Amino acid sequence: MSLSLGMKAEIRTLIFVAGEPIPLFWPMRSFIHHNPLQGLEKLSFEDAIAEGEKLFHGKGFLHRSNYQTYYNEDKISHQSLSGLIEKFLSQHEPIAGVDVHNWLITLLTKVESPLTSDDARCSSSLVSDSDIAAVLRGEDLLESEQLKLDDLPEKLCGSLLNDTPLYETLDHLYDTRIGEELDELVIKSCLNFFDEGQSAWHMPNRKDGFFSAWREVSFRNLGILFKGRRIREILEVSEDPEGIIVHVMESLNIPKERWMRYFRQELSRLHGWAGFIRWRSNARHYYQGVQHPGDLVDLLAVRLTLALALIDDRARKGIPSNVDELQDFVKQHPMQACLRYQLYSRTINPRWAQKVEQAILTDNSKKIDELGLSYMQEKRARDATMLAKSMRRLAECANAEQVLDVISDEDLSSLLSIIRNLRTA
Amino acid sequence: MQSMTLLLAGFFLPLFPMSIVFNFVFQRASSVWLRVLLLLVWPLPGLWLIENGSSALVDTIVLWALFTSILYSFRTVVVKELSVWTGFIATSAWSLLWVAEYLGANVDDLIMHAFAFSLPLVLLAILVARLERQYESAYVGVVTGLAQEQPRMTGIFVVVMLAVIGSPLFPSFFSLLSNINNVVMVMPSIALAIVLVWLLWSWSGIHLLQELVVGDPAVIQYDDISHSMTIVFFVSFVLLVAGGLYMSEVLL
Repeated sequence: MSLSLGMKAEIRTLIFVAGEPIPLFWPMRSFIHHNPLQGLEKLSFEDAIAEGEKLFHGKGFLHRSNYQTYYNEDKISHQSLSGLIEKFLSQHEPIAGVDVHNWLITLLTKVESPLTSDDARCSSSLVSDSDIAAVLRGEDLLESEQLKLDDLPEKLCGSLLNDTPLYETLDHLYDTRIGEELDELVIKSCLNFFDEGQSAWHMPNRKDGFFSAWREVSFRNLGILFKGRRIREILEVSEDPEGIIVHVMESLNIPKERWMRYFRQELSRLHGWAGFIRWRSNARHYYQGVQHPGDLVDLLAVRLTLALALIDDRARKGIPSNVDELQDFVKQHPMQACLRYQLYSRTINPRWAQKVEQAILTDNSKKIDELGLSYMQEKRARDATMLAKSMRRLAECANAEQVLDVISDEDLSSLLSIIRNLRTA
Repeated sequence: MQSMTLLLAGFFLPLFPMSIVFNFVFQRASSVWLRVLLLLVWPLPGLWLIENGSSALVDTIVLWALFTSILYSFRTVVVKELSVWTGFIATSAWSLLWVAEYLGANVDDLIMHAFAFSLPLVLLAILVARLERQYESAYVGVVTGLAQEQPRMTGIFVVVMLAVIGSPLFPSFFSLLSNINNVVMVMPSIALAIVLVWLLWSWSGIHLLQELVVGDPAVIQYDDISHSMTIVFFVSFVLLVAGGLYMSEVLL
């Protein structure tokens, strides 16, 4: 594959922009500090934290119990917390007969875990406010609104396929563990190339640059060839890192408008290495950088080559090898996809894990759909019961037990909506 | 009549497909004490039947037993539900009692072999039941990060698992070793088959441990095992090791 100069420049530009949020990381002889959000300084604090959580898979804030301890020790003042809640509530309609301010203060300062879940995929969102109201009234859940699964494929496609690299989705649906293996291979490749005299036996041809040197070695590296049998075929497509990147992205059928986001996600998987390589490629007088050049384009080409080789290797067992095939699978077997996601991302109710695994292994669509429906119904009932129980406990803490006995469905829905919004505010 | 006796023994010292019966019963036993009872008692009628059989075992039965043992040890590699895993290991281990009988072990030695496998499994069944009470299931992978959440329980779990998969000093180690020792010079293929079974147990056991012990702990925190229970388990380990050392004197 031979790319035009313009196309190469476009790829380099995309990767340059994609790498901007990755904080620079340099060879520190003694550690002083490292700000992981350095590359996000142009965003507001809240947005930078949210973006940082997504990119670096970290927790942006301390655990809830830490803040509650600070509150109890007066390190967080009641006035400031109360003021913030008042400001938040000014954007919402008041609920007659409910002291929402008191409920929220109690929720934040006395309840150990949040009431609502973050995970909106699959079944979590199947619990409706009317389900919770039914449980609070002590009614049978089945009498309320039945499950609506028609929108499941769309919801799944949206949440599973939009923002994550393909292999991460495959890992969640097929337990392929490509991500772990890929990270290991990339780390080994980086260690081999970016060695600064620590090892006795150096990687050959390092002066040609990271990707070129790695490419040469990979043609005869049994460790890599064994794990990704198609790697030679992929590497023969182009000698340039840009050509390989385009080939991989086209092979995976990633729409071009998503390339930059995709590159960013890939670079942030090993953001320490990416930050070091980014710093090194910009440090013009860094001896090792001058002698053995390497930049984010090289890193991404290495990573994507290995990713495609590993995906192709797994695809021989019948799993999707590109985004289109994956979308087709999710659209044709939404329940199976949902159960697979729950099982392999370890969010399933443990009591169902064995049954679901066995059903998936039988590959019998009818059986899987039936089991999935039962699972969803039970999970919906269980989640609704847990939420109702949590609401009761919150009411007790707020000294307002009687409110939940007389509250109308509409008011309960508004209250739950305010509590949900508080999490994102 | 002889065939009928052996066939009946095949239910208790499980031979595939009769082994399905034990696993069916074991997986549906909801009470931990019923599981403990099954693990302790199930192989004994089988031992009685083959000891009272009039003629020596034929090669076919031993090959059948080895096939069953290898089959179930292979199955343990892919199983993540610990109660199912316990049943499979018990099936695989008890099948090897046919080999011990074939090699001329007397009834006392056979009972010792049976308990060498069963006692660590009893401890495992008790721990698995505890996990099931807390997490509603003992499906490894979904239940994970135990070391951070319950360090005492994790320590006990690791030692029990080592005892189950036949680590040195525990009785199952000396049971397997004596079988291999007795057969390696005369029928090395049988010794190789036992080594394969042993390897598969170890592989699956350590794999399960790895997934159970490390990882992100559950959101809901559960209480660790009590100090008194820890002492009870510790005493059990000492007794198991003492039993193992006694077996080494008797069998090797």
